Amino acid sequence: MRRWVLTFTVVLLLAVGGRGQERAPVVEILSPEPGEAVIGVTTLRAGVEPADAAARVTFFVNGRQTCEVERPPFECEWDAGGEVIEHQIRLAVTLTAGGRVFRALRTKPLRYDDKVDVDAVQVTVTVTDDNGRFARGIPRSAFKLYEDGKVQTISHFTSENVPLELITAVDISGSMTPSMAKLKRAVKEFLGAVPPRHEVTLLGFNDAVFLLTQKTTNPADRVRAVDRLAPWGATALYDVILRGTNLLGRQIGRKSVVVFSDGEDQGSHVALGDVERRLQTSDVTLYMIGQGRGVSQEYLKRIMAQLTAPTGGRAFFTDSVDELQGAFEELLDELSNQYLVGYQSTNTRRDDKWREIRVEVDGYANVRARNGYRAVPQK
Amino acid sequence: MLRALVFCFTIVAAFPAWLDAAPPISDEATVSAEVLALARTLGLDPPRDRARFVSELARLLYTPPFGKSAAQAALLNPGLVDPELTAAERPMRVPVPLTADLWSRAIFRRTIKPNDLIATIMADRRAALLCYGLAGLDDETLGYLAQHTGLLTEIHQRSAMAFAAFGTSLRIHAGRIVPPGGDSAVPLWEAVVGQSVGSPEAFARVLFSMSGARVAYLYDTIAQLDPPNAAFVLGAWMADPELRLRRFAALVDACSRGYREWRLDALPFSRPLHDVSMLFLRLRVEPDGSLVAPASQAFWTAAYASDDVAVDSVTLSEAPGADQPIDAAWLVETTSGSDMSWRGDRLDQFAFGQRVFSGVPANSWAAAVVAIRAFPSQRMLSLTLERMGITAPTVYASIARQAQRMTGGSPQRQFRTLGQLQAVVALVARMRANAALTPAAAERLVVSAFNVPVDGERYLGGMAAWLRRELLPHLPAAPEDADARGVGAIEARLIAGLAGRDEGSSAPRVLWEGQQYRLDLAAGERRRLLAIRGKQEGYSVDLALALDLMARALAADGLTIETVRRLAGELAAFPDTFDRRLDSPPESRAPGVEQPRPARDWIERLGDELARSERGKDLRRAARLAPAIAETVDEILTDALISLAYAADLGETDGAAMLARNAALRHDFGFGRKDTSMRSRSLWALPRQDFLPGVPWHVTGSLLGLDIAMASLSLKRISPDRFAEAPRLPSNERDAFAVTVSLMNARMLRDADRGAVVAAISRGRDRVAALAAGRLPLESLAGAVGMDGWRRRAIGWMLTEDAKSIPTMFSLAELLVLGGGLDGVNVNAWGTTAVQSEGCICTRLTLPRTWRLLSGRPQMALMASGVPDVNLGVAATLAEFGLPAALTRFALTAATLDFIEAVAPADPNDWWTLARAAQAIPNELVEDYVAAAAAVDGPLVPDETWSTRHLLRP
Repeated sequence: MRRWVLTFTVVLLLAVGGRGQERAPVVEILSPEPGEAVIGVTTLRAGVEPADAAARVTFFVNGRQTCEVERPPFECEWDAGGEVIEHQIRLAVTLTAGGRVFRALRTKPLRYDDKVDVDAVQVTVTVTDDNGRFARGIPRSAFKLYEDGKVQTISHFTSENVPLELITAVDISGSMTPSMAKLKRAVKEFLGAVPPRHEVTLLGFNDAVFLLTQKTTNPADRVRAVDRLAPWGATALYDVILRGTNLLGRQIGRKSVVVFSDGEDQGSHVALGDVERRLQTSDVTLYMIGQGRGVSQEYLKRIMAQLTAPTGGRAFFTDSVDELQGAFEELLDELSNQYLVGYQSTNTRRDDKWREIRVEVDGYANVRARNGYRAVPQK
Repeated sequence: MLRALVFCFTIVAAFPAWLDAAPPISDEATVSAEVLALARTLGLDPPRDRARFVSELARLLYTPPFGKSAAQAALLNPGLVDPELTAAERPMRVPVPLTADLWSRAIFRRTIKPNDLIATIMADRRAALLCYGLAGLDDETLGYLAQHTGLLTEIHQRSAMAFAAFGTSLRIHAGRIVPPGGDSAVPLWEAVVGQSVGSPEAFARVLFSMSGARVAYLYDTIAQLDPPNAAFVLGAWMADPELRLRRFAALVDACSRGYREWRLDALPFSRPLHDVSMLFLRLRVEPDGSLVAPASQAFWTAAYASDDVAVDSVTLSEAPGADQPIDAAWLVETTSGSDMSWRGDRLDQFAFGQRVFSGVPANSWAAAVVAIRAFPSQRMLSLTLERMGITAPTVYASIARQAQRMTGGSPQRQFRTLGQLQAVVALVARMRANAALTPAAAERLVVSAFNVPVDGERYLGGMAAWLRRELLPHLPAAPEDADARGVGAIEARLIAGLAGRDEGSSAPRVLWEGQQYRLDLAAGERRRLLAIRGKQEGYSVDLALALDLMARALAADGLTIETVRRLAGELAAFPDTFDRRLDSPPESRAPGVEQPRPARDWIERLGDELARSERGKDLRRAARLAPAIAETVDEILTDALISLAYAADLGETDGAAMLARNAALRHDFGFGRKDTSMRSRSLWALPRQDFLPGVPWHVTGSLLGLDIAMASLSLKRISPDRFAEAPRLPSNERDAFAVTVSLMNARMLRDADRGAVVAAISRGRDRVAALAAGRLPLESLAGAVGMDGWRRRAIGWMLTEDAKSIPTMFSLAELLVLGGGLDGVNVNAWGTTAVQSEGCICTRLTLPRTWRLLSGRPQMALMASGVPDVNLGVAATLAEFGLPAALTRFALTAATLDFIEAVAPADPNDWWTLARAAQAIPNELVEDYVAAAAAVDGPLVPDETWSTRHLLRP
């Protein structure tokens, strides 16, 4: 029935508007369906019949371009967020014969908040031996997890090669001008070294945040995007950390944000305390690569360490390409040798209080993990 | 036969001898690949800019920022140019004023080969500037100079900077200077310059050299003005020729003494801030050249005499001549001090007085004088009242006095009183702009808000009562989904008012991309505001008003234990009723402003107190709680109202400003300023965003005009991967474009007006096509749009060399003028911000003819004020799509962001590139901009109520 209506509409549009082609292809949004309630990672899928009629398929959500696909399957993922609210999905199909065909629908809002996995707590754990080498193959039974001193039951455990969702944020503010060439080289080196199985989203930021590539696994795409970077504007460092953390979503898995910056915030809409608080409520591991003034200014180094340490991440400070390569190897090695441990907290209250996490691993003294989290009340 | 001979002799004698054997006045010269490559590095696109190549290259080479010495050195030594850059260039021929022979003889005194001409001219600063000036002359004037090589030599050696800056206004016709103002102005100019217009060589020589070229500047300024404004400046309205002459001399003298910071020799393309040209451009003048009233010397002398806002302090002089109108000399003498900021105030005061009080009777002049005096220290208050359409001087004067009484006292208390007062004025102004309030109601509300009693710098619930008693009765019912968004019933009504008048069933129906919608400006805005207010943490108006009722009940005569019991019960329900609205987020407050007490804890204690009073049947104890509650009402209401005032201008619900818990609470009135005068001005100053290291983003200044301060937040990024490289447009110009969108009122964009605008553009396009086809003379079009000399010369050359590109030489605004037929059309609704150009919070359709008067002041972002082409282009495309005109503003929120990030002007005076880029916005992009209006918070609301007959409408 829906298909019939869509076909009818296409025919009608051709009759009255004349913006289509003589033999219009059948175009429809297959996912989500009209009136469907969506939450979290959602597939956007278009049907184009015949498929070769489409040169490009572009999805817009709430007026913003979300993804562009040039060959079937015409689909991509989009994070609908943690609330079931109404969204407008728009599909624009650019036809090989010229012109565009459009479809649009709205998803359904619900009057209550989602309950998806909100009580699951995830902890990414890095374990090293006495020589500083990453410890591999440790069994689940070796891990002990405490929340506020109370032992917790591990509900899920994944070791090694856990796919990683990585956000790399690059400071392109005016203050980075002197170190831009080095920065680009460093970022390219880093992205080139990220194994293809990991999804990387690349952000550029100054006083605004630009999405350069989204969840791509193609290293060439990442490197190309870096070439477009040019320095200008102020440095909304705290904004980008918060945005990056929000972009990582709520699904199970390892999530990291790596920020290349001089560490000097100027003009963020959020304050340092807001970022710390947000990190406390997420399971994101934050790494920062201090560049430019971030290498020499102690107070900037302190801020970067202050932000990263509680998440189980680290801050590196170097401008030297050689040293950076070493740092990247270390960082990527670390990202490839982490354990993901999850549990349902025995404390079910959402009281916005800080809860301390402690992870112990039998036989290992060097265990790094986030040191706590905050259970925020639902709005 | 004899008669015929005499006739022929007369004809010959009528032409001056220098026309007998007129040498060629221009040439074509080859530009080398090296020079082309250099031009590209300066932002020129040689093939596109071929006709104006020489003048633009000269201007760019010798306009700040400097540091172009490498380019200049490379002109002399092409070997310095990077071969990679030159490889892609192919030498091309471009027009040059004068011939290589003339340049060789008169300027360089050595033979310059034609192929070296351009590089040689450009490498010599004075020659390049002379060349720039020559390129702006008409053929006859250029011909005169070609025949008077001595004058050329002297200009090159002594006045090249002045000639570059003002030479284009030099007109020599039939061997005589044609000065601004025409024949009637000849005696004035001859008296001032001291030379006869019949001796062009002597006249020009003196004009460009006397008084540091300030006379030439005045000459050029008057030449650019509209005829009525020029007539005012030249005193054409004066009956007494002697007086006129004297006053013109006084004007020249004042101009010569003023603006001492201006260094023409160093910066020939820069102009002083707030100077004569900006003053004269803004003047409101009758067609005969007389100034619009109030124009008497007595009035303006009193207005400028002091900043005292007491009406009885105003003394209107009755001395002889005091009732005479002021003239240009008086204005320049009164406004041309050395302090640029002071000059800006004076110009803005004058423009404000002319805009608002042009029709007031003489018996209201004292109040009008007070209003004008208050303007510099209460700028945003004055401009907001003007924006609301208030014209009564007594209202301005009374409010000015009330506002002045509120400056002083402790920052903490001032934050609360000013916060509440300015926020409610901001809300009323917004409701008025969105047609939720009538003009009369808005005026009454503002007056009554200023009359709310202040007790020891505190309202003590007075503003809460005002809201309930005065404002709420004007507001629509709360939207149905307000509760779901966590917004209380009272705030929901305020939001409904802010969103604007509901069009109901009369809302236009729109068929777009196969979907049926109605255009409901209020609905989308209401949803956006509800979402933003739902996200903002902190107190609510509902909480404040509930507490205020409680305080009043406790303070009322005849308090009973039953009442105390009821109130205690209500208070006990507060945690359920107001939930998270009982907490205020720990935002970084402005200097001098403290975080309010946590209401949750305080209310808990209050509940205990009430319970104790009830148990002890102690009515006095209960009544004593009232003042403390009233003070808390002020605290809570301040935060809530400021948050609401911000919500209107914070942009998208998931925008950058919404990352903060509630950035509104950081608002800084400027209490931290050490200088008392600066501090009190800051309270009502135009607000601005502050980006400071280590300090979270915040806005400083008044709460009035947040739409200007936060205009950049109103822009939408449709495509996140349309990644912006470092924008070429300066940041202040980008901000000014954003302000244009922010100030544009969708409700003022009417289909009929747009139809007239689009039809005019179309007619204008036809006329330009006729010009390109040789069916219309250039002068008829160039004169109509006040085209500058450089473009006239360029188009003249293109007529024979590149006629098909001639349409690209006209902006949409010029096509609009050429099309004409705009009587009664509100074209200003489609215009650009006039905050800087005219000092008003409004949009104006500024035409390119005024651009020369505005240019040269990159600090003021006047280019964005002078180019309305993005607005016009998007409006025309929407008309082509058959969409309502009111959608234009929404489409512009996205179009403008893409435009300002992508457009690449060569420098802050290159308005032409902006105009051309605006015309190149593809329809496909505009489709995407419009489609964003159908997003959930957009103004296109799905409408399933259509019948099939709607579907078939175009």
